[in-house]
Amino acid sequence: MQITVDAWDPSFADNPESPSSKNQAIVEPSVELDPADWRPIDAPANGPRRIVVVDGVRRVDARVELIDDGERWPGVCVSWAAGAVACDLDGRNSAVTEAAVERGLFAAVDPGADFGRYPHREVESADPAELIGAAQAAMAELEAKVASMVAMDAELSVLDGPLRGRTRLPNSVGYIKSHQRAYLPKQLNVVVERLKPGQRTPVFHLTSGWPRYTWYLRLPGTSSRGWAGVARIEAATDLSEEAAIALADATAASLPPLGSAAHKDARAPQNLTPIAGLERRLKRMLGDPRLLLRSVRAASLETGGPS
Amino acid sequence: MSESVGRVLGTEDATPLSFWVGVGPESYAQLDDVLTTERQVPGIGTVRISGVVTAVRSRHEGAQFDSDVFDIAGGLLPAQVQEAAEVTVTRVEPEVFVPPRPGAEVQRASGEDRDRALYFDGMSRQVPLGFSRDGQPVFLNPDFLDGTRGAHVSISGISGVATKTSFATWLLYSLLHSGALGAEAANTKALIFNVKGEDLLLLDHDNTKIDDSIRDTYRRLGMEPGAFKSVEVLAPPREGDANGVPDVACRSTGVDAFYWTLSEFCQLSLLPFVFADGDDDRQQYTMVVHQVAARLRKEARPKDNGAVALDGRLLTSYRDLVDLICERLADDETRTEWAGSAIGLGTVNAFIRRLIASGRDIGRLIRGDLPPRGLALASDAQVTVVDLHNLPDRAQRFVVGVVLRTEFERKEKAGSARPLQFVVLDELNKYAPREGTSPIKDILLDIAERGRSLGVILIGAQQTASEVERRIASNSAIRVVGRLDAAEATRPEYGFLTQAQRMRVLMAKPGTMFVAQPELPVPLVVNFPFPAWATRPAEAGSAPATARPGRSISATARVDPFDLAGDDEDDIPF
Repeated sequence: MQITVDAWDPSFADNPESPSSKNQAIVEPSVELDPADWRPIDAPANGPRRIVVVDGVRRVDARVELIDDGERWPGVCVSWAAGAVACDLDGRNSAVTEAAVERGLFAAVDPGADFGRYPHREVESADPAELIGAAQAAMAELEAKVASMVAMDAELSVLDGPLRGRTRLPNSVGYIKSHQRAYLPKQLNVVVERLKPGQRTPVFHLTSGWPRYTWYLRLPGTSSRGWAGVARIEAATDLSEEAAIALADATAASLPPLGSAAHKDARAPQNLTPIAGLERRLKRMLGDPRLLLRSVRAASLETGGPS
Repeated sequence: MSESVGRVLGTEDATPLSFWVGVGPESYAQLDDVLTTERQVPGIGTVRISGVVTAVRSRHEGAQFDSDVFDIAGGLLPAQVQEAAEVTVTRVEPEVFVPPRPGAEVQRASGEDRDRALYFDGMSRQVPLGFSRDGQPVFLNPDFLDGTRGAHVSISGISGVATKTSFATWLLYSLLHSGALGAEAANTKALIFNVKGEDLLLLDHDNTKIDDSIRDTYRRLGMEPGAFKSVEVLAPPREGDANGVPDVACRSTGVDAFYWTLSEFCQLSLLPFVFADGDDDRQQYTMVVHQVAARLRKEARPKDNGAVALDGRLLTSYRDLVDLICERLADDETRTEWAGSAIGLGTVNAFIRRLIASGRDIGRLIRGDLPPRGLALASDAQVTVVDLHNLPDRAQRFVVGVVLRTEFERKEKAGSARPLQFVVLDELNKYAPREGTSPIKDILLDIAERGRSLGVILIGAQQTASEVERRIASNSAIRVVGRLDAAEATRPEYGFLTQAQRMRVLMAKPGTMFVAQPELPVPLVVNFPFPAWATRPAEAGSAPATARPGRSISATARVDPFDLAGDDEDDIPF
């Protein structure tokens, strides 16, 4: 077994577009209001005061090539971290309560040797995009683990990204910052465009690959036209409709104040202030990429190298 | 067991001379704390690095923008408050100058560790200076004060709040009463010039304003609180008083008048000290001054009560002498004899003008109507206070110059450095300015450069060290700084202060001094105790029981002269 480390900056290997299957989206809009009555809904005056925000970060530290009997297998060394911020708005205190870092070498073949800090993780495919996708899944798993540790006593848990697979936590919602697809029919999309900051659309039921409740919420920002500052929020499908609507009200009341300012965050306002702080903290925990790359190179020499 | 403060930071360079400490969440570090850390050096063993905290800071980690503080305080943004302290290294033991390793544990030094860090362990004798911010005593090595390895003290600070004279007297008290000088303390003398108010005239009176806690601070420093034991105050005679009664309001005992007789004035050539102004020296008439002084010395014949006979005339006052000199200089026939040849008339007239002007200032100090009182400091009191505060500038210079010269010559003749003679002189920038020369500056330079071997130790104070002759400041082993003004603090004369201390001196409170001593690379910040002796009449307790008998100690009698001694019946009949 021979391992070579790609000299290219590993960030070129990182493709955030995880492969997604274009499932048919089935929308059931009459959960809260009849489609004919759809209109922007104002937030209630009071929302939850103890909010937990969960997020993860991932970084490709090195691209490697494993050569075994003349056969080449791509691999990626990835570090990822997940953490949770508990914001106590009454106590005016926010702290990172749980944070964990993991690393792994994603490849189809086992290098058969201790590879630095990166334990081997088996991936079926040799497609680089699948490898990244596997790392993304590992991160989601870690996020779910962290979330399950802290979400119990929160009035609202905001999990970054789709809720897929994390539906069992109480009071938890998935938080989607960007919109690759428009799920709603055209006449209902108009309601999204009419949202004022702090308003949300009625809750609707969406099945696209998997079922969930979802709604759109506009965060206060520089511009309130079109889809700027609009986030989509998901809740588990096994909730009652009333519970889903209550969660929607809770998010409409509590999330707008957490929206970030445009001059501080390139992804404002959807990238919530606690998430931005958490991401900075997590990225720091991932360690220095140059140092890690060097350790990968050193390990690759030990495990054979060009003879 | 020493208390852990934190760990050496790795995000700031750690050097053998200074390093930063990340302060742990459960502890704190304040300015002036003494911290210590260790590291292992191959082949040498444990190297202990100790120092003093010279800067502290705290920041929000995780915040990128100034406005993040509101999000953090509002509970929206997670961030960590982290404190860090800069340690300026004072001692490395053994002397292997390696930096501490980031991550190494840093402890607060106490007991022997603290003494070692501040070199107190190497001081065979210790003069207490007061307390540092952490409440622990701070000491001075008397080797650098008594001439063994260095001498002289320079105290700088702005008027009023810097408490320069209080610190000077406290230093004397500590030196004399702490036992640092041993048996020698009994014979050690101090000469203090009192320049402002009657502040220093009550050194032997207890201070009624001090309480038990202040007394306790004195005891913790190893001495009994109290006033100076043996003090004599010398004051100028009252203006126009024929009997030479000292001009002092706040005390009646232990006061003596000082003056010089006309015959002393002529014999000892004191005339140059009448012209001791910095700008006097730049004028042509200095020539005339020395000619006239030489003439007086040669021609004057001493008579009774200090008077002199000159050219067949009996002179009994300074004005008589001035008149005679002016007469001789005005006369074409005698002018060459008195002023020397080839001296222009303008120069002579300039001299005459100043000489006449001096009559008003100095007249009461040069007497031809009082018995000679010998040397100015013949007394056996330990502390002699020479009161200058109600003398005009020219007379102050005259007294300081003459007294210092007499003292210096006496010590020079004695040929032995011991017993020590301390001289406390405020406003050094007036007597030894950086620019120009004057007879007083020459003497002060002599003291600064040779005084260490002769046992004359100068404790000089000034508002601005930048305006004092460099050689005097550079010969001072111990430099003390109180509150400074911002412009003065940036001058190179205060280069011994650390950057943070230069900022701190701007807001130093009365009673806080920065003391630099040669052994320590960092000046120590000291709070010295409130004086246990009176500094103004309102604080004065009872006078010392023994107003030393023998000499003419009391000019203004303690007994009311109108009180008819114990006779009630023989009253004034009206």
